[in-house]
Amino acid sequence: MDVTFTAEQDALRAAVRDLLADRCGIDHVRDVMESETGADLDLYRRLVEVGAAELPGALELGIVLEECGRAVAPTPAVSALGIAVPALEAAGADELLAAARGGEAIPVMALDPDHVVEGHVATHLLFVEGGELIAAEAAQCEIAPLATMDLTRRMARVRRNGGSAVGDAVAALRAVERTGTVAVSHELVGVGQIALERGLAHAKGREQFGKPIGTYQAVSHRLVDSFIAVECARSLAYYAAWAIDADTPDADLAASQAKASAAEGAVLAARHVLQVHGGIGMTWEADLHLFLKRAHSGAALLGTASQHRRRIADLIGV
Amino acid sequence: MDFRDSPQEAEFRGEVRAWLREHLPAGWLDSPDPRPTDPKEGEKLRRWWQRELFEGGWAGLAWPKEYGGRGATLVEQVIFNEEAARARAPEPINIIGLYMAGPTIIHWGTEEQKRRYLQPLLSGEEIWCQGFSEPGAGSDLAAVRTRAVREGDHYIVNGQKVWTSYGHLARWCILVTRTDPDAAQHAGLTYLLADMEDPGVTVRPLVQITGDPEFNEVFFDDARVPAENILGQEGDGWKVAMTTLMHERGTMSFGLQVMSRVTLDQLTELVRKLGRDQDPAVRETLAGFQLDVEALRVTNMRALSKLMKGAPGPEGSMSKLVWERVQQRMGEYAIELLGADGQLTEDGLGDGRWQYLYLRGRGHSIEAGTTEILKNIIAERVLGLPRSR
Repeated sequence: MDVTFTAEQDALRAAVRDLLADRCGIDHVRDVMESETGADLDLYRRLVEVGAAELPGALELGIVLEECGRAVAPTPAVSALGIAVPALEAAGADELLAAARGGEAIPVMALDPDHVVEGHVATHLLFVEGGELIAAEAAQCEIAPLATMDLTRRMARVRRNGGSAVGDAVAALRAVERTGTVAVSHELVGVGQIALERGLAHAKGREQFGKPIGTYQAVSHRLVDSFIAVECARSLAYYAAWAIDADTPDADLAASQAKASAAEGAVLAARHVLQVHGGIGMTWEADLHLFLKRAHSGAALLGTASQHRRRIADLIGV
Repeated sequence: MDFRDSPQEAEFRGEVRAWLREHLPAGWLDSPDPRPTDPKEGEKLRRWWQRELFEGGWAGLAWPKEYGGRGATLVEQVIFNEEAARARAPEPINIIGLYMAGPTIIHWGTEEQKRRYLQPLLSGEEIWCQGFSEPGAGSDLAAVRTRAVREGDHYIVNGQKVWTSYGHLARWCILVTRTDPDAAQHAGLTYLLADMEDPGVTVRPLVQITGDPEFNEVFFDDARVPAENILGQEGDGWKVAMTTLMHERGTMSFGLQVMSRVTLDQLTELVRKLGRDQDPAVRETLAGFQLDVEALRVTNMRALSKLMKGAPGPEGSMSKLVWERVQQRMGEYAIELLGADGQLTEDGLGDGRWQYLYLRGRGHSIEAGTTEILKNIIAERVLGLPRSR
């Protein structure tokens, strides 16, 4: 047993973290939030350039997306790199996969055509029809952007008028269910982490009754609860990514565990940290709502915590 | 990253399993709950089991060979604890000795002390208890008032300790005393090894809410402790006590997650017996327990990996908090599911097992650091928040 990262994995994390520190500070996220699409496709391409579309396994994908979550990066990384690329790979859709890996194509899955995450910035939309994975170019679709709570990860309603079969839908769905679910979980871990870090900074600096508010246990214990929730989610996300890469018999269970825990952990941390900020936490100009909204948009993606709990009950044979 | 046993670890695990199978009483592994409920029976069994462990060379597994241990790695110790918990093996009777007094003596003791105390500690011939808490010093350990005054080559001890598990069985007590009432709170403490057979020591059992007499009050009235029975130097008591607590909260916790796994399996079985396994609310609740039990297992593995590489991370500090919460909630949920039957301790489902689990569970968030104290420790030492006092 050795549950630590390799030097290569540490280097990958550092490369993504450096890129995001350089290109995706919170002011930039806010600028993109106010933009027409809410997505920074240049930053997305930079992620592709550091190899984020061609990673050796689910664990490396998790490392990249955890960092993206920690930066609340407004890119289609989760939808395209975390969900669609593994689906294309599993389906054997080599041509589109190559285009996605080169950064020319930004594919997203249209699993629920009424709620297609990042559907408005995708170049290709992937549909499951019968046993086939159908790819349609954006120009072959009617795409209606939707108003979303999370302005840094939006959705669209999509109807396709053309497109063609590119591979096996069963394999694609299986990849979504496993790798995709765990990818979303990792992003949520990152969101919970940044929320916690902001909460700690505030609790150390903000004074009331003549002392930093982190002195008070009612405040500090909320932050400890957030820390525990995020660390539990992190553990289950790492385990699930490893289980997928090692193809263990409990990989499906591990994926659902990761998602249920990450959804709850990120939302809990974001809520606690907003509370710890008091009134400022309710303002548009403070960043707390970005974390809370991203936590919810991740929590709703590929199955809610409650849906995954029901799946866990099935899988453990209750 | 690999969560599986290495070939050597797998071999060691196999060895442990084979030994347990061979040495546990006949039928033990097939019984749904083999541990006796009668405290006297339990004590007898646990004394016997400690002896078995000692003779098999499993007591003090990770201790240095020169002191009767095996010099096993930390991961081997964890594997042993996991397998023992999975087999629901009895707890060795000298749990305070094995996990707290022993490691502290190995760390702080003189060669003479190690030779005197460690062997009978491992064999269970001499049982140990812990004299830390007092009526006026619970979470605030540095407030202890039990006085030790040096007179010639003895310390004369006066005061009272409380919540002393195994005090009624123990020969020795790891005792935190105040030797210098004028020094700063943490500086005036001294750590002694006190003989419980001294005529100045009186033990009064306290019956717990489970009905078991697991812990005691211990009174010291001019009890005499030879000066050579000091661990560390006079005034080192706080530092030595921290070594003890580090061990209490450290290595011991690695077996706890398996206890939770066993409880969850039993709870799942109960749900089936009650015909509630298709109830969506019940299923979601059990899935929630599964999340906590698995998070605990994996978090422990992360912590252990970092420890083995010499870089302890923050993960270890939260294990006990996650464990006590899930263990308590499972007990609470069983009582809730059982309804009126949950009030019956003999004729109900489980013969009182669930009531015991529930009641004993209330203590999990109090013993070895209350929830609140452990959260303070994480807030201050892991998260870097300002001290709350």
